[in-house]
Amino acid sequence: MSVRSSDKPRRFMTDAASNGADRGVNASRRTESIMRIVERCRQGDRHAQQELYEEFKDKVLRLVVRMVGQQDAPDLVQQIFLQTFRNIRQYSGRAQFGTWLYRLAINECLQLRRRIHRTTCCTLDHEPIDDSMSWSLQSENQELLGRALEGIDAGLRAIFLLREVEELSYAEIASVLQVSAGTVGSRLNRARSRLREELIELGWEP
Amino acid sequence: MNCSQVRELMSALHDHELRPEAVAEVNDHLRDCAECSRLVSEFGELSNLAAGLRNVSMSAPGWATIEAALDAHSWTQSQFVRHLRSRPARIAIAAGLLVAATVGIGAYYLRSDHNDHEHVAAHFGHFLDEFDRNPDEAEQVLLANYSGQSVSLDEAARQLKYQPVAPNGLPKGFTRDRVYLLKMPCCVCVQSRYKDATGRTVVVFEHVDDQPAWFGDRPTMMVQCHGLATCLVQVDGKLAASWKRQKRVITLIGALDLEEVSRLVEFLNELYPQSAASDQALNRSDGCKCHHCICPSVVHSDLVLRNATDTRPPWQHLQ
Repeated sequence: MSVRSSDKPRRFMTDAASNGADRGVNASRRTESIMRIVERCRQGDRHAQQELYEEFKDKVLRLVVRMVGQQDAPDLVQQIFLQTFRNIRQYSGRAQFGTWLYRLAINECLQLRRRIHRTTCCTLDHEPIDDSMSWSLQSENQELLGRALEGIDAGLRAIFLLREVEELSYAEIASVLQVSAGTVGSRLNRARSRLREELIELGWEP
Repeated sequence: MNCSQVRELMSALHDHELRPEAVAEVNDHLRDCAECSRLVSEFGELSNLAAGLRNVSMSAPGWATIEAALDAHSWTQSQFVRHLRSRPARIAIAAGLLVAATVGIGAYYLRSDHNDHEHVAAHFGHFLDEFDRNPDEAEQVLLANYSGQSVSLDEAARQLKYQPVAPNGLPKGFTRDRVYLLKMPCCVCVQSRYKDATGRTVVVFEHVDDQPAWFGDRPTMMVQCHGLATCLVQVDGKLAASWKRQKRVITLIGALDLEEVSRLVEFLNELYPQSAASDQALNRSDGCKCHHCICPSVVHSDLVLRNATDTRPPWQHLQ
Protein backbone atom coordinates (compact mmCIF):
# COMPACT_ATOMS: atom_id res chain seq x y z
CA MET A 1 0.00 0.00 0.00
CA SER A 2 1.46 3.35 -0.93
CA VAL A 3 0.88 6.40 1.16
CA ARG A 4 1.90 9.80 -0.11
CA SER A 5 3.66 11.93 2.47
CA SER A 6 1.55 14.88 1.35
CA ASP A 7 -1.64 13.11 2.41
CA LYS A 8 -3.51 14.93 5.11
CA PRO A 9 -2.84 13.49 8.57
CA ARG A 10 -5.33 10.73 9.20
CA ARG A 11 -6.71 9.58 12.49
CA PHE A 12 -4.96 6.37 13.44
CA MET A 13 -5.81 6.17 17.11
CA THR A 14 -8.82 4.35 18.48
CA ASP A 15 -11.61 6.46 19.97
CA ALA A 16 -11.80 7.09 23.69
CA ALA A 17 -15.49 6.23 23.42
CA SER A 18 -14.84 2.81 21.95
CA ASN A 19 -12.34 2.07 24.71
CA GLY A 20 -14.87 3.17 27.28
CA ALA A 21 -17.56 0.95 25.82
CA ASP A 22 -15.35 -2.10 26.27
CA ARG A 23 -14.97 -1.75 29.97
CA GLY A 24 -18.07 -3.72 30.75
CA VAL A 25 -20.72 -3.87 33.38
CA ASN A 26 -18.43 -4.76 36.28
CA ALA A 27 -16.28 -1.72 35.73
CA SER A 28 -19.39 0.41 35.60
CA ARG A 29 -20.64 -0.98 38.90
CA ARG A 30 -17.25 -0.41 40.45
CA THR A 31 -17.23 3.17 39.24
CA GLU A 32 -20.67 3.75 40.73
CA SER A 33 -19.53 2.26 44.02
CA ILE A 34 -16.48 4.54 44.11
CA MET A 35 -18.66 7.54 43.30
CA ARG A 36 -20.87 6.71 46.28
CA ILE A 37 -17.78 6.56 48.53
CA VAL A 38 -16.55 9.85 47.08
CA GLU A 39 -19.93 11.44 47.78
CA ARG A 40 -19.73 10.35 51.44
CA CYS A 41 -16.14 11.67 51.62
CA ARG A 42 -17.41 15.04 50.45
CA GLN A 43 -19.63 15.09 53.55
CA GLY A 44 -16.62 14.37 55.78
CA ASP A 45 -17.51 10.72 56.49
CA ARG A 46 -14.35 9.27 58.07
CA HIS A 47 -15.27 5.65 57.22
CA ALA A 48 -15.68 6.60 53.57
CA GLN A 49 -12.28 8.29 53.63
CA GLN A 50 -10.76 5.09 54.94
CA GLU A 51 -12.52 3.04 52.25
CA LEU A 52 -11.23 5.35 49.56
CA TYR A 53 -7.72 5.24 51.01
CA GLU A 54 -7.69 1.44 51.15
CA GLU A 55 -8.98 1.30 47.57
CA PHE A 56 -6.29 3.52 46.05
CA LYS A 57 -3.31 3.56 48.43
CA ASP A 58 -1.31 0.80 46.71
CA LYS A 59 -1.73 2.26 43.25
CA VAL A 60 -0.70 5.71 44.47
CA LEU A 61 2.26 4.29 46.41
CA ARG A 62 3.47 2.34 43.38
CA LEU A 63 3.37 5.43 41.19
CA VAL A 64 5.01 7.63 43.83
CA VAL A 65 7.85 5.15 44.53
CA ARG A 66 8.70 5.05 40.84
CA MET A 67 8.40 8.81 40.46
CA VAL A 68 10.34 10.08 43.49
CA GLY A 69 12.01 7.03 45.09
CA GLN A 70 11.31 5.00 48.23
CA GLN A 71 12.74 7.50 50.69
CA ASP A 72 10.18 10.23 50.06
CA ALA A 73 7.30 7.95 49.09
CA PRO A 74 5.49 7.45 52.46
CA ASP A 75 5.37 11.16 53.27
CA LEU A 76 4.29 12.01 49.77
CA VAL A 77 1.53 9.39 49.77
CA GLN A 78 0.23 10.89 53.02
CA GLN A 79 0.40 14.36 51.54
CA ILE A 80 -1.45 13.24 48.41
CA PHE A 81 -4.34 11.75 50.37
CA LEU A 82 -4.57 14.75 52.71
CA GLN A 83 -4.81 16.94 49.62
CA THR A 84 -7.36 14.55 48.15
CA PHE A 85 -9.66 14.75 51.17
CA ARG A 86 -9.25 18.52 51.51
CA ASN A 87 -9.98 19.13 47.84
CA ILE A 88 -12.50 16.40 47.13
CA ARG A 89 -15.30 18.92 46.71
CA GLN A 90 -13.44 20.21 43.66
CA TYR A 91 -13.76 16.82 41.96
CA SER A 92 -16.50 17.45 39.42
CA GLY A 93 -17.22 13.81 38.56
CA ARG A 94 -16.67 14.37 34.84
CA ALA A 95 -13.55 12.15 34.77
CA GLN A 96 -13.14 8.89 36.64
CA PHE A 97 -12.11 9.47 40.25
CA GLY A 98 -8.93 7.42 39.74
CA THR A 99 -7.95 9.71 36.86
CA TRP A 100 -8.43 12.78 39.07
CA LEU A 101 -6.40 11.17 41.84
CA TYR A 102 -3.56 10.20 39.48
CA ARG A 103 -3.46 13.78 38.21
CA LEU A 104 -3.19 15.08 41.75
CA ALA A 105 -0.52 12.48 42.60
CA ILE A 106 1.59 13.28 39.54
CA ASN A 107 1.38 17.01 40.23
CA GLU A 108 2.57 16.43 43.80
CA CYS A 109 5.43 14.21 42.55
CA LEU A 110 6.52 16.80 40.00
CA GLN A 111 6.32 19.58 42.61
CA LEU A 112 8.47 17.57 45.01
CA ARG A 113 11.01 16.93 42.28
CA ARG A 114 11.11 20.63 41.43
CA ARG A 115 11.66 21.50 45.11
CA ILE A 116 14.46 18.94 45.37
CA HIS A 117 15.95 20.16 42.12
CA ARG A 118 15.83 23.78 43.26
CA THR A 119 17.44 23.09 46.62
CA THR A 120 20.07 20.54 45.64
CA CYS A 121 20.62 21.14 41.91
CA CYS A 122 21.34 17.47 41.36
CA THR A 123 19.41 14.42 40.30
CA LEU A 124 17.91 11.98 42.77
CA ASP A 125 20.29 9.32 43.88
CA HIS A 126 19.59 5.89 42.59
CA GLU A 127 17.50 3.78 44.89
CA PRO A 128 17.42 0.03 44.40
CA ILE A 129 14.08 -1.25 43.21
CA ASP A 130 13.95 -4.07 45.65
CA ASP A 131 16.80 -5.22 47.87
CA SER A 132 15.34 -8.68 48.25
CA MET A 133 15.50 -9.43 44.53
CA SER A 134 17.57 -12.38 43.53
CA TRP A 135 20.38 -11.62 41.12
CA SER A 136 18.73 -13.22 38.15
CA LEU A 137 19.15 -11.63 34.75
CA GLN A 138 15.56 -10.45 34.89
CA SER A 139 15.98 -8.67 38.21
CA GLU A 140 19.26 -7.13 37.09
CA ASN A 141 17.47 -5.78 34.04
CA GLN A 142 14.65 -4.47 36.20
CA GLU A 143 17.15 -2.65 38.35
CA LEU A 144 18.65 -1.20 35.20
CA LEU A 145 15.17 -0.06 34.18
CA GLY A 146 14.75 1.65 37.57
CA ARG A 147 18.01 3.50 37.00
CA ALA A 148 17.12 4.31 33.40
CA LEU A 149 13.79 5.77 34.54
CA GLU A 150 15.66 8.11 36.85
CA GLY A 151 17.67 9.30 33.88
CA ILE A 152 14.75 10.52 31.79
CA ASP A 153 12.57 13.60 32.03
CA ALA A 154 10.01 13.36 34.88
CA GLY A 155 7.10 13.99 32.51
CA LEU A 156 8.17 11.14 30.23
CA ARG A 157 8.67 8.91 33.25
CA ALA A 158 5.14 9.69 34.44
CA ILE A 159 3.54 8.79 31.13
CA PHE A 160 5.56 5.57 30.85
CA LEU A 161 4.52 4.52 34.37
CA LEU A 162 0.86 5.37 33.77
CA ARG A 163 0.88 3.09 30.74
CA GLU A 164 3.20 0.25 31.68
CA VAL A 165 2.71 0.01 35.42
CA GLU A 166 -0.77 1.42 36.01
CA GLU A 167 -1.96 0.01 32.67
CA LEU A 168 -4.14 3.01 31.82
CA SER A 169 -5.54 3.34 28.31
CA TYR A 170 -4.51 6.25 26.11
CA ALA A 171 -7.86 7.91 26.77
CA GLU A 172 -7.33 7.64 30.52
CA ILE A 173 -3.74 8.92 30.30
CA ALA A 174 -4.95 11.78 28.13
CA SER A 175 -7.46 12.65 30.83
CA VAL A 176 -4.85 12.49 33.62
CA LEU A 177 -2.36 14.65 31.76
CA GLN A 178 -4.99 16.79 30.00
CA VAL A 179 -3.54 16.24 26.55
CA SER A 180 -4.87 14.61 23.36
CA ALA A 181 -4.63 10.85 22.74
CA GLY A 182 -2.30 11.61 19.81
CA THR A 183 0.03 13.42 22.19
CA VAL A 184 -0.03 10.42 24.53
CA GLY A 185 1.19 8.22 21.66
CA SER A 186 3.98 10.59 20.64
CA ARG A 187 5.13 11.14 24.23
CA LEU A 188 5.14 7.41 24.85
CA ASN A 189 7.27 6.99 21.73
CA ARG A 190 9.70 9.49 23.13
CA ALA A 191 9.65 7.97 26.62
CA ARG A 192 10.34 4.49 25.27
CA SER A 193 13.06 5.69 22.93
CA ARG A 194 14.77 7.64 25.73
CA LEU A 195 14.49 4.66 28.07
CA ARG A 196 15.94 2.38 25.44
CA GLU A 197 18.89 4.73 24.98
CA GLU A 198 19.45 5.01 28.75
CA LEU A 199 19.22 1.23 29.16
CA ILE A 200 21.68 0.54 26.36
CA GLU A 201 24.05 3.07 27.93
CA LEU A 202 23.74 1.16 31.22
CA GLY A 203 24.64 -2.09 29.49
CA TRP A 204 21.23 -3.53 28.64
CA GLU A 205 21.25 -5.93 25.76
CA PRO A 206 17.86 -6.17 24.13
CA MET B 1 3.91 3.99 5.05
CA ASN B 2 7.56 4.90 5.45
CA CYS B 3 9.75 4.32 8.51
CA SER B 4 9.12 7.77 9.94
CA GLN B 5 5.33 7.38 9.73
CA VAL B 6 5.47 3.91 11.25
CA ARG B 7 7.69 5.00 14.13
CA GLU B 8 5.26 7.78 14.99
CA LEU B 9 2.61 5.07 15.47
CA MET B 10 4.86 2.50 17.09
CA SER B 11 3.71 2.98 20.68
CA ALA B 12 0.06 3.03 19.66
CA LEU B 13 0.62 -0.22 17.74
CA HIS B 14 2.41 -1.81 20.67
CA ASP B 15 -0.31 -0.71 23.09
CA HIS B 16 -3.17 -1.90 20.84
CA GLU B 17 -4.45 1.66 20.50
CA LEU B 18 -4.36 1.79 16.71
CA ARG B 19 -7.39 1.53 14.47
CA PRO B 20 -7.49 -1.84 12.64
CA GLU B 21 -6.91 -0.30 9.20
CA ALA B 22 -3.80 1.49 10.48
CA VAL B 23 -2.58 -1.75 12.10
CA ALA B 24 -2.74 -3.44 8.71
CA GLU B 25 -0.73 -0.64 7.07
CA VAL B 26 1.90 -0.67 9.81
CA ASN B 27 2.18 -4.46 9.65
CA ASP B 28 2.68 -4.27 5.88
CA HIS B 29 5.68 -2.05 6.53
CA LEU B 30 7.01 -4.18 9.38
CA ARG B 31 7.08 -7.28 7.19
CA ASP B 32 9.65 -5.59 4.95
CA CYS B 33 11.58 -3.46 7.45
CA ALA B 34 13.89 -5.25 9.84
CA GLU B 35 14.87 -2.07 11.71
CA CYS B 36 11.29 -1.04 12.55
CA SER B 37 10.42 -4.64 13.47
CA ARG B 38 13.37 -4.69 15.85
CA LEU B 39 12.18 -1.47 17.51
CA VAL B 40 8.67 -2.86 18.01
CA SER B 41 10.17 -5.98 19.51
CA GLU B 42 12.31 -3.86 21.87
CA PHE B 43 9.20 -1.97 22.99
CA GLY B 44 7.83 -5.40 23.90
CA GLU B 45 10.93 -6.22 25.92
CA LEU B 46 10.65 -2.88 27.72
CA SER B 47 7.06 -3.74 28.65
CA ASN B 48 8.15 -7.12 30.01
CA LEU B 49 10.76 -5.39 32.15
CA ALA B 50 8.29 -2.74 33.29
CA ALA B 51 5.89 -5.42 34.48
CA GLY B 52 8.37 -6.04 37.28
CA LEU B 53 7.88 -2.47 38.48
CA ARG B 54 4.34 -3.30 39.53
CA ASN B 55 5.72 -4.94 42.66
CA VAL B 56 6.84 -2.54 45.35
CA SER B 57 8.67 -3.87 48.37
CA MET B 58 7.25 -1.31 50.79
CA SER B 59 3.76 -0.63 52.10
CA ALA B 60 1.72 2.53 52.10
CA PRO B 61 1.31 4.24 55.48
CA GLY B 62 -1.45 2.66 57.57
CA TRP B 63 -4.84 4.34 57.77
CA ALA B 64 -4.07 5.33 61.39
CA THR B 65 -1.27 7.60 60.14
CA ILE B 66 -3.52 9.31 57.61
CA GLU B 67 -6.32 9.62 60.15
CA ALA B 68 -3.94 11.19 62.68
CA ALA B 69 -2.82 13.73 60.08
CA LEU B 70 -6.45 14.49 59.23
CA ASP B 71 -7.28 14.84 62.94
CA ALA B 72 -4.31 17.15 63.48
CA HIS B 73 -5.66 19.35 60.71
CA SER B 74 -9.20 19.47 62.12
CA TRP B 75 -7.86 19.85 65.71
CA THR B 76 -5.98 22.96 64.68
CA GLN B 77 -9.18 24.37 63.21
CA SER B 78 -11.30 23.57 66.30
CA GLN B 79 -8.66 24.96 68.70
CA PHE B 80 -8.63 28.15 66.71
CA VAL B 81 -12.41 28.52 67.03
CA ARG B 82 -12.26 27.84 70.80
CA HIS B 83 -9.54 30.45 71.30
CA LEU B 84 -11.69 33.04 69.62
CA ARG B 85 -14.06 32.95 72.61
CA SER B 86 -11.66 34.78 75.01
CA ARG B 87 -11.11 38.54 74.57
CA PRO B 88 -7.28 38.60 74.92
CA ALA B 89 -7.09 35.78 72.45
CA ARG B 90 -9.32 37.70 70.05
CA ILE B 91 -7.01 40.75 70.29
CA ALA B 92 -3.91 38.59 69.84
CA ILE B 93 -5.47 36.82 66.91
CA ALA B 94 -6.56 40.11 65.33
CA ALA B 95 -3.01 41.45 65.64
CA GLY B 96 -1.65 38.19 64.28
CA LEU B 97 -4.07 38.31 61.37
CA LEU B 98 -2.98 41.85 60.55
CA VAL B 99 0.66 40.77 60.39
CA ALA B 100 -0.26 37.61 58.52
CA ALA B 101 -2.34 39.58 56.03
CA THR B 102 0.58 41.91 55.32
CA VAL B 103 2.96 39.00 54.86
CA GLY B 104 0.30 37.03 52.98
CA ILE B 105 -0.37 39.76 50.43
CA GLY B 106 3.34 39.93 49.66
CA ALA B 107 3.55 36.14 49.47
CA TYR B 108 0.45 36.03 47.27
CA TYR B 109 2.05 38.24 44.66
CA LEU B 110 5.27 36.23 44.77
CA ARG B 111 3.37 32.96 44.63
CA SER B 112 1.04 34.03 41.84
CA ASP B 113 4.09 35.07 39.86
CA HIS B 114 5.59 31.63 40.50
CA ASN B 115 2.32 29.92 39.47
CA ASP B 116 2.19 31.97 36.29
CA HIS B 117 5.70 30.82 35.42
CA GLU B 118 4.70 27.20 36.07
CA HIS B 119 1.58 27.47 33.88
CA VAL B 120 3.51 29.12 31.08
CA ALA B 121 6.21 26.44 31.34
CA ALA B 122 3.51 23.72 31.18
CA HIS B 123 1.79 25.24 28.13
CA PHE B 124 5.07 25.86 26.39
CA GLY B 125 6.09 22.30 27.28
CA HIS B 126 2.99 21.03 25.43
CA PHE B 127 3.85 23.29 22.52
CA LEU B 128 7.40 21.91 22.33
CA ASP B 129 6.16 18.32 22.68
CA GLU B 130 3.87 18.74 19.70
CA PHE B 131 6.01 21.03 17.57
CA ASP B 132 8.15 18.53 15.69
CA ARG B 133 5.22 16.24 14.99
CA ASN B 134 2.61 18.82 14.10
CA PRO B 135 3.52 22.53 14.33
CA ASP B 136 -0.05 23.64 13.54
CA GLU B 137 -1.50 21.59 16.38
CA ALA B 138 1.28 22.80 18.69
CA GLU B 139 0.46 26.39 17.85
CA GLN B 140 -3.14 25.87 18.95
CA VAL B 141 -1.95 25.13 22.52
CA LEU B 142 -0.57 28.66 22.82
CA LEU B 143 -3.30 30.38 20.81
CA ALA B 144 -6.01 28.77 22.95
CA ASN B 145 -4.34 29.55 26.28
CA TYR B 146 -3.16 33.07 25.54
CA SER B 147 -6.03 34.53 23.46
CA GLY B 148 -3.94 34.31 20.30
CA GLN B 149 -4.88 36.92 17.73
CA SER B 150 -3.65 37.05 14.13
CA VAL B 151 -2.44 40.60 13.42
CA SER B 152 -0.73 42.74 10.81
CA LEU B 153 2.74 44.15 11.50
CA ASP B 154 1.27 47.61 12.17
CA GLU B 155 -1.29 46.24 14.57
CA ALA B 156 1.41 44.22 16.35
CA ALA B 157 3.56 47.33 16.80
CA ARG B 158 0.54 49.35 17.98
CA GLN B 159 -0.44 46.83 20.64
CA LEU B 160 3.12 46.07 21.74
CA LYS B 161 4.02 49.79 21.86
CA TYR B 162 7.37 48.98 20.27
CA GLN B 163 8.51 47.84 16.83
CA PRO B 164 9.13 44.10 17.03
CA VAL B 165 12.10 42.71 15.12
CA ALA B 166 11.16 39.07 14.60
CA PRO B 167 8.13 39.58 12.29
CA ASN B 168 10.22 41.63 9.84
CA GLY B 169 11.50 38.52 8.14
CA LEU B 170 14.14 35.82 8.25
CA PRO B 171 16.96 35.29 5.75
CA LYS B 172 16.28 34.35 2.14
CA GLY B 173 14.52 31.02 1.90
CA PHE B 174 12.01 31.73 4.68
CA THR B 175 8.57 33.17 4.04
CA ARG B 176 6.51 34.75 6.79
CA ASP B 177 3.27 32.88 7.19
CA ARG B 178 1.45 34.42 10.15
CA VAL B 179 1.98 36.86 13.00
CA TYR B 180 0.07 36.42 16.25
CA LEU B 181 -0.10 38.31 19.49
CA LEU B 182 -0.27 36.19 22.64
CA LYS B 183 -1.49 37.75 25.88
CA MET B 184 0.78 36.02 28.37
CA PRO B 185 0.79 36.65 32.15
CA CYS B 186 4.08 38.55 31.91
CA CYS B 187 3.44 40.59 28.81
CA VAL B 188 2.16 40.57 25.26
CA CYS B 189 4.32 38.33 23.09
CA VAL B 190 4.52 38.42 19.30
CA GLN B 191 4.73 35.03 17.58
CA SER B 192 5.96 34.99 13.96
CA ARG B 193 5.56 31.82 11.95
CA TYR B 194 7.80 31.19 8.95
CA LYS B 195 7.98 28.41 6.37
CA ASP B 196 10.94 27.38 4.27
CA ALA B 197 10.83 25.93 0.74
CA THR B 198 10.31 22.41 2.08
CA GLY B 199 7.31 23.48 4.17
CA ARG B 200 9.23 23.28 7.45
CA THR B 201 7.91 25.63 10.12
CA VAL B 202 10.14 27.92 12.14
CA VAL B 203 8.55 30.04 14.86
CA VAL B 204 10.07 33.12 16.48
CA PHE B 205 8.69 34.64 19.69
CA GLU B 206 9.60 38.11 20.85
CA HIS B 207 8.65 39.86 24.05
CA VAL B 208 9.93 42.21 26.70
CA ASP B 209 10.48 40.51 30.02
CA ASP B 210 12.92 38.43 31.99
CA GLN B 211 14.15 35.35 30.20
CA PRO B 212 11.10 33.07 30.18
CA ALA B 213 10.64 29.72 31.95
CA TRP B 214 9.41 28.25 28.69
CA PHE B 215 11.90 25.41 28.46
CA GLY B 216 10.81 24.03 31.88
CA ASP B 217 13.12 21.30 33.10
CA ARG B 218 14.32 20.21 29.68
CA PRO B 219 18.10 19.88 29.49
CA THR B 220 19.50 23.16 28.24
CA MET B 221 22.89 24.37 27.22
CA MET B 222 24.26 27.90 27.27
CA VAL B 223 26.45 29.02 24.42
CA GLN B 224 27.85 32.34 23.28
CA CYS B 225 26.41 33.04 19.86
CA HIS B 226 27.53 36.23 18.14
CA GLY B 227 28.27 37.65 21.56
CA LEU B 228 24.83 36.82 22.95
CA ALA B 229 24.32 34.36 25.80
CA THR B 230 22.01 31.86 24.11
CA CYS B 231 20.05 29.08 25.78
CA LEU B 232 19.71 25.99 23.56
CA VAL B 233 17.25 23.12 23.87
CA GLN B 234 16.65 20.12 21.70
CA VAL B 235 13.04 19.75 20.54
CA ASP B 236 12.88 16.23 19.17
CA GLY B 237 14.77 16.45 15.88
CA LYS B 238 15.07 20.25 15.93
CA LEU B 239 16.64 22.95 18.07
CA ALA B 240 15.16 25.81 20.05
CA ALA B 241 17.18 28.82 21.13
CA SER B 242 16.46 31.79 23.34
CA TRP B 243 18.54 34.92 23.85
CA LYS B 244 18.14 38.40 25.21
CA ARG B 245 19.06 41.58 23.39
CA GLN B 246 18.73 44.60 25.64
CA LYS B 247 15.17 44.24 26.98
CA ARG B 248 13.90 42.00 24.17
CA VAL B 249 13.83 38.23 24.55
CA ILE B 250 13.81 36.29 21.28
CA THR B 251 12.97 32.60 21.23
CA LEU B 252 13.44 30.59 18.06
CA ILE B 253 11.88 27.15 17.58
CA GLY B 254 12.52 24.67 14.80
CA ALA B 255 16.11 25.26 13.66
CA LEU B 256 17.68 22.32 11.86
CA ASP B 257 21.09 22.54 13.48
CA LEU B 258 23.49 24.86 15.25
CA GLU B 259 24.64 26.41 12.03
CA GLU B 260 21.10 27.55 11.31
CA VAL B 261 20.69 28.83 14.87
CA SER B 262 23.89 30.82 14.42
CA ARG B 263 22.72 32.21 11.08
CA LEU B 264 19.30 33.24 12.41
CA VAL B 265 20.69 34.78 15.61
CA GLU B 266 23.10 36.83 13.53
CA PHE B 267 20.37 37.88 11.10
CA LEU B 268 17.89 38.94 13.79
CA ASN B 269 20.64 40.65 15.74
CA GLU B 270 21.45 42.82 12.76
CA LEU B 271 17.85 43.99 12.50
CA TYR B 272 18.16 45.88 15.78
CA PRO B 273 18.58 49.65 15.56
CA GLN B 274 22.23 50.67 15.40
CA SER B 275 21.75 52.87 18.47
CA ALA B 276 21.65 49.67 20.47
CA ALA B 277 25.18 48.78 19.38
CA SER B 278 26.33 48.71 22.96
CA ASP B 279 23.95 45.81 23.69
CA GLN B 280 26.44 43.26 22.53
CA ALA B 281 29.00 44.30 25.11
CA LEU B 282 26.22 44.40 27.72
CA ASN B 283 25.12 40.89 26.94
CA ARG B 284 28.67 39.62 26.97
CA SER B 285 29.37 40.97 30.42
CA ASP B 286 26.00 39.79 31.78
CA GLY B 287 26.65 36.19 30.78
CA CYS B 288 23.85 33.67 31.37
CA LYS B 289 20.55 35.36 32.09
CA CYS B 290 18.65 32.15 31.74
CA HIS B 291 17.99 31.83 35.44
CA HIS B 292 14.59 30.16 35.04
CA CYS B 293 16.02 27.35 32.95
CA ILE B 294 17.20 24.46 35.07
CA CYS B 295 20.64 23.82 33.70
CA PRO B 296 22.15 20.84 35.56
CA SER B 297 25.27 20.97 33.49
CA VAL B 298 25.50 24.45 32.09
CA VAL B 299 28.28 24.69 29.59
CA HIS B 300 29.46 28.01 28.25
CA SER B 301 31.21 27.44 25.00
CA ASP B 302 31.79 29.28 21.79
CA LEU B 303 29.46 28.37 19.00
CA VAL B 304 31.76 27.36 16.20
CA LEU B 305 30.15 25.28 13.49
CA ARG B 306 31.19 25.54 9.93
CA ASN B 307 30.69 22.05 8.55
CA ALA B 308 27.41 22.09 6.64
CA THR B 309 27.85 18.47 5.57
CA ASP B 310 27.90 17.14 9.12
CA THR B 311 25.01 14.70 9.30
CA ARG B 312 24.95 14.14 13.04
CA PRO B 313 21.69 14.92 14.89
CA PRO B 314 21.60 18.56 16.01
CA TRP B 315 22.30 17.87 19.66
CA GLN B 316 25.43 15.89 18.96
CA HIS B 317 27.00 19.02 17.53
CA LEU B 318 27.13 20.31 21.06
CA GLN B 319 29.09 17.42 22.48
